[in-house]
Amino acid sequence: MTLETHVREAFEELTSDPPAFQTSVEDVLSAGRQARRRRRVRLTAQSVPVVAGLSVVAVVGVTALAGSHHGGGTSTVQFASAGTQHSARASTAGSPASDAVQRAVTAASPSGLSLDIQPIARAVESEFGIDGTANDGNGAGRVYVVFDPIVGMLELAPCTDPEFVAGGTCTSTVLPDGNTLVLRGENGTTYTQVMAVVIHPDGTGTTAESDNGTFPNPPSVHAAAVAKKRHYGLEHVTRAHPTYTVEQLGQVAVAADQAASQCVATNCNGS
Amino acid sequence: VKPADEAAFLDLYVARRGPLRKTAHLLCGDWHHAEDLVQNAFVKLYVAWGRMREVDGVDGYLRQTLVHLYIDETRRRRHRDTVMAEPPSRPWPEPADASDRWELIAALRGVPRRQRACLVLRFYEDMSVAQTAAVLGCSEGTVKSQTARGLTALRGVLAAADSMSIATLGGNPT
Repeated sequence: MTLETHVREAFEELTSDPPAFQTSVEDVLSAGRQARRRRRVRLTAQSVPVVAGLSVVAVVGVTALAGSHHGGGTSTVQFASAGTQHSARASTAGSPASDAVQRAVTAASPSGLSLDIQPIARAVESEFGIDGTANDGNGAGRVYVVFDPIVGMLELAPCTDPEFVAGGTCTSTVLPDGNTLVLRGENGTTYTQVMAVVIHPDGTGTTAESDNGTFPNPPSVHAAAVAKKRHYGLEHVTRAHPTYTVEQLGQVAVAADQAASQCVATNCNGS
Repeated sequence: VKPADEAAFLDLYVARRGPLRKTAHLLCGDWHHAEDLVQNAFVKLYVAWGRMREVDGVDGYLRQTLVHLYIDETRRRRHRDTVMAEPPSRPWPEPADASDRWELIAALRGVPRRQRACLVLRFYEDMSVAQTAAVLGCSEGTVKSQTARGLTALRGVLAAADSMSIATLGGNPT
């Protein structure tokens, strides 16, 4: 018998009589929620982004904003939704709330952008929104917009969180309705991302992300198949920069947030 | 946890926590510590859930996270090594008899973490050298050398204990 065989048999024997679990499913969920609450709207980011201070004029229902708190150049961005090409899939997987977000994202996206987005709903902690890609002709990049309705889920001042900023530029602007718009500039080395977050005073709000690449497959989680396969789902860089600029993404976030908030307030009866 | 729902995460947790805890147990030698490692791996997965786009990625992510959590404990000089110097809650069994297996179990305790990770991934998870290298984030050559050293360490410990004839021991790390 070889040493390898001894080792294999010893490993099997060592694991043949495991004790009962001490932690419950709820323990893991609770710990996950705490970690996520701390790290929400943060990237696994590494490097140096490039975005100036900003103020944004939102498309839907938000009047012009005062200048940026950071005193940077004021860039007013407005888009027409006419002419935007959309191939949004049918909303069979969505809900009235995620459908409302999808419509808002579509309307607030830059003209000429080709969107392939689908609603997501019943996600963890009741969040809802859209997931998909946006293509301006230079390659499809992932776009993801989600509303978190759980109080306290979002950091109120993520620009003060080095994990969120991750060495990049981060601007925070108080909107006329009292919410805060946070714009986090392009971040990462190879796979990059910009992020815009509308944060309500109670810690609810909307997060929007735009990437310079995509994931190879749509979401799919089936526990029964997990044990059989072992390799990684890697991100694919498809373009030099994210499809949306951070300013554009800020408009999308504000529009989506308004649609989602209204939907939540009315139990989505008005959407 | 973005695209998938919480129920899917829980299904995954229930399905995978057992096997992962066994792997963790082989790494750290303590069931409670192993359970902590698994829980921490799932917490990291929970945070990253929205970026996991396929089952294969989820399982690989969990395994990789688990192994790195274990190895990084040494790097961060955290409490576990100290704790492990004391009797753990349910440690690997003491070598209660003279069988080769129990001697080997005792010998595993003396194998450095990265080498032990190689042994566990190669001979418990039945991973190839390439797969092990991917999980550990190192070259295939490093996996081969670490595995060989791990086996050599076992061989040496066992020989020192004079409980197993070196002549009966082989081992091809690749």
